[in-house]
Amino acid sequence: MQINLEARELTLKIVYYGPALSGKTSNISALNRASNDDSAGRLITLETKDDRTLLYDLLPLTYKDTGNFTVRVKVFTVPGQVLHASTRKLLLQGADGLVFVADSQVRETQHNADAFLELREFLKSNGLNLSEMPLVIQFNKRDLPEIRSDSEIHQTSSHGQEPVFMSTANNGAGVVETFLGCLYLTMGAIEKTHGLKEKFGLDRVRFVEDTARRLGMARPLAQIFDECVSGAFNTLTPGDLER
Amino acid sequence: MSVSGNVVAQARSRIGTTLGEKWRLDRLIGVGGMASVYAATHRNKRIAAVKLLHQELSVVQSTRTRFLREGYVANSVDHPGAIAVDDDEVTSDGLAYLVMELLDGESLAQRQDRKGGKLPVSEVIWVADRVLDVLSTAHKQEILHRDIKPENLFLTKGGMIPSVLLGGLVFPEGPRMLKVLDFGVARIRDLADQTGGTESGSLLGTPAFMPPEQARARSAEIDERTDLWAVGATMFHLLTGRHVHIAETANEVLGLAMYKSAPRIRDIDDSVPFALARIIDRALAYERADRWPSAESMREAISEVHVSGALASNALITTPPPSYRGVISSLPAAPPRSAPPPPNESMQPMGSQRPQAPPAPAPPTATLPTGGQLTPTMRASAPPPQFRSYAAVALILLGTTAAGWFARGAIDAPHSASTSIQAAEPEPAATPARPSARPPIEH
Repeated sequence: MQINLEARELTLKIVYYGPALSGKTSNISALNRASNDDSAGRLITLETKDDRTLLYDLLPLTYKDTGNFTVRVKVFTVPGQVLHASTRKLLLQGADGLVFVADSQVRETQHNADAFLELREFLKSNGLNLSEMPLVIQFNKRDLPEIRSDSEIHQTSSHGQEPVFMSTANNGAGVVETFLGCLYLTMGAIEKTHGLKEKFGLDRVRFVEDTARRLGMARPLAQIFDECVSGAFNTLTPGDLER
Repeated sequence: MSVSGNVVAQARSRIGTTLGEKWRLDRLIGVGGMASVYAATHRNKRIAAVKLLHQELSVVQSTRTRFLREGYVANSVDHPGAIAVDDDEVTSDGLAYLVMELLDGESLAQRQDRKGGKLPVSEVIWVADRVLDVLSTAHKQEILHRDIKPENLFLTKGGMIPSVLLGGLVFPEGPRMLKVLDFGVARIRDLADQTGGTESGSLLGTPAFMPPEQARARSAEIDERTDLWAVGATMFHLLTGRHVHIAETANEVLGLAMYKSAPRIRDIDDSVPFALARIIDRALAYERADRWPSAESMREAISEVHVSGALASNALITTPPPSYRGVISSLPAAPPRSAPPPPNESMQPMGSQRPQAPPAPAPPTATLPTGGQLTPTMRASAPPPQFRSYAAVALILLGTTAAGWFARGAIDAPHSASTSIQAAEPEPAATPARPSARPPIEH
């Protein structure tokens, strides 16, 4: 996170992490498509010849709060293939929020777990503690056969605090909700440490709702977060989401 | 010759001392033929494993160079499953050491012992998938491991992971990560080609997990398929509880490895699923050309077993689900065998059912380079109870390489013909928790 007080500008870094081919790039592409105004910058992708992410995808999003405070969100994806482990580790540096994109297919369960353990290890080696990071889990590819069932995910996610969203990133379903969930948690963590509301008048609920509108979601945040299967958002009281 | 009492005593005497004013050696984890491993604390409070080359080996320039090179090779693999060396140094009094992550968990050999000698199919498939993933990455970088065996495969505790990501899979004790240890005998082919780093005729590896070309010290023939044979031998051992070749002495094991084809795994244990047996049998082919051509191809084959239904619904539970049995039973039966394997192979002329081994050549010109006096205690047999209580963690980080034990002259560990480690003292399986943040290493 970077704060430029003079320019009244905050820059956040949100990283999409997950096993190879879980749909991280599909997420960021859908997010890019959802941005219906000029808030989204150019999506930068570096792909190999077989369309796999080579280095990273980067989508810069810029929002201006009514208090004339600018928030830039840099959304990164990491390359999932094992070969690029050092790139993934590098991209995690300075991450403010994380979206873990899990593959819903039953046979990918172990790869999801492996990727999560790797994420934790890499964060540790970067001096970060995963349990202290804003994290949202997304179960992608809900349109495929032989996936883990909704009821199983509902049941198992209730044991954890991490918000869990379902998605089919190829057609955009669940993508914006996931992003907003992570953005909300990330802004909350920064609010806690830097007091954005008090110092700059930046209200995170208003900010995230405004962001939602720019991404094509004109619903109250509470309704949007109803899409969340389980986790921290389920413990939010209506008051938490009021301005 | 065993790891002598003097070496162990010397290793113990270093507990509490500080290396180069940086690393305080807190606890001796184990002593091997080449090095001792300690749990150590840096002056900046970081906790790590320190692998200290024995003093008498530290003064040998070539050994010291090879030892320190281990770190660079492992780091070059750049895979989370390859244990990386964080630091290396030679103290002012000439002691060489490596610093690496202190692991919390157990080796597959220890797990196998703890589980009564065999591991479930599902775990072995998971292990094979993981180790082949590491090897695939290493091989792409022209790095061979050359000493894959259960002692060099380490399961670390996965720790906290959201239960929603687990979904009833993985190990019953919780999530695990596999670390491939001891790239110390690995060879970067280019480097060897350029510098003659590994001379033809020198033997590196562990007899019980050596394919013919490695046992015969044919360095020029050693390639990716050498590692894949070792993966097959490891799977064979984990599933059946016995080595590919069984003999009374390590020399005999080596001889069998040189000239005898591996038995088919279902001839040893017909409970091994046929689809999996075919993969292992191919990995263990006598002729390199008959083996899997690459780690990737072998991994894909294992993955197909997984995807085809063998493990589709619940890959890593310890008891195969009904669907698994159904798939296996629907597969064609194993071809009839002409004769069951002998209960205890000996160095008889071949003529086995497997691809015919080439005619026995003249005795190898180089076998055990430096006084390879291997003792009968290396007999492949069930481990004695005391071995089961040995420390987990960095036993494997020891000088387990044959280079080490050949340099030392012998092996004493009774676990198997492949083990060169002697634990200095029994240790609890779990090591102390490490601080979550890793401060930088001071230099």
